[in-house]
Amino acid sequence: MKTCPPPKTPPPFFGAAFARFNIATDKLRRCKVIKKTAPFIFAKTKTAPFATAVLKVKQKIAALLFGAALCFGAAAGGIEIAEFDTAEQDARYRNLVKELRCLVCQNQMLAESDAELAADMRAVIARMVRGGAEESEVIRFMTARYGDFVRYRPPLQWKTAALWILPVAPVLLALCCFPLWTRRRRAVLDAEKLRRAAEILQEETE
Amino acid sequence: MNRFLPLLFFLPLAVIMFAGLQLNPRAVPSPLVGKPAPQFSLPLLRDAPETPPQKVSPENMKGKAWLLNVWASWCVGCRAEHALLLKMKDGGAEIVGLNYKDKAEEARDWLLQHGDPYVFSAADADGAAGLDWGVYGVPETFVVDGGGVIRYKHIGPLDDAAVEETILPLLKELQKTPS
Repeated sequence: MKTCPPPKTPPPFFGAAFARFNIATDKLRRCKVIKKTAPFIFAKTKTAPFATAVLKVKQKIAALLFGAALCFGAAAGGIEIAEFDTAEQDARYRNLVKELRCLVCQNQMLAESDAELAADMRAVIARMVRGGAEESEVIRFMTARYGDFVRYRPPLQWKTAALWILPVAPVLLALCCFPLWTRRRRAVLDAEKLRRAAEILQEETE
Repeated sequence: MNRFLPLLFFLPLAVIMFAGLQLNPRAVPSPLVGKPAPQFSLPLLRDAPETPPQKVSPENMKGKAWLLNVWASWCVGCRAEHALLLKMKDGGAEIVGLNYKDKAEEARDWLLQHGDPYVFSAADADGAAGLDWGVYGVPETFVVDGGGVIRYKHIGPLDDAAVEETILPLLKELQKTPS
């Protein structure tokens, strides 16, 4: 069985470029500190401006590498971009990939899953949406293949009834029991007791 | 009585949750069981590059009870169940391979190295047929009857228990009653 791809970590290339970038800027900063605290070092030697120039070039290269790594990383680990002709189709697609579950990484929606199957399913959904399929059509297509499990919101059936009813059951139960409960408390104050209470009150006021 | 009221709620909950622990969350019941097997027409995975290209489909197995085994050379679980497939083949089971999202050369090498338990393998390079069959975790094995209806689906690598207790008895029964 195929396992879930690991969570997105920057590719090694990314890390190396980042480290180089850090080193370069760090060196530069140190140079600036030296410049501030002991300007004579820079003012009086001929190599110093050259060194900073070299560092600047290095920094630029590092920045370039960093940018390239960002692009590369996005392409390698990210989720492909689906483009549509109309905003309506785009919205439908976006909604669908949030409504449907990735079967490989079971608690991820299709929209966020890196698994290969999720990418395949997204491609099929995009194709169907481009072809003018309604949302219900796509959902029917996927449930026909993967069952109701593919939906984050399973339909109300006998099998799923507990799923829908259990969260509201305590509230319903409380609503039902509340009148009973209050009635019982009221019943304690029956006519006899009320009369006695009135008597006591009267005695006190006298 | 009131003292035991929380227990009244807790016990059923504990029973339900304990039962839930016994379930395998990866085994998602397939809606395809009991339904006609999805059709496909895919290139045959050839034993040698010289073999002429050919299309295969579930129609090739019409009238027979057969197994569809979804496999790939990159799939670790497939390697694990491979010996069982070879044993089933020797026992007379007709197994069709669906070579899922694989490269033809690698798949061919894999079969040469480990043995070929399949009547034939269909090359599903882009996984489209796999999607139609609701494949989500390779390996998967389907039992299809003579009328082309899916009778059973096993998700993940086959094991002795599944083969001996479920798949082979079912296959034998389906072979006896051609529909």
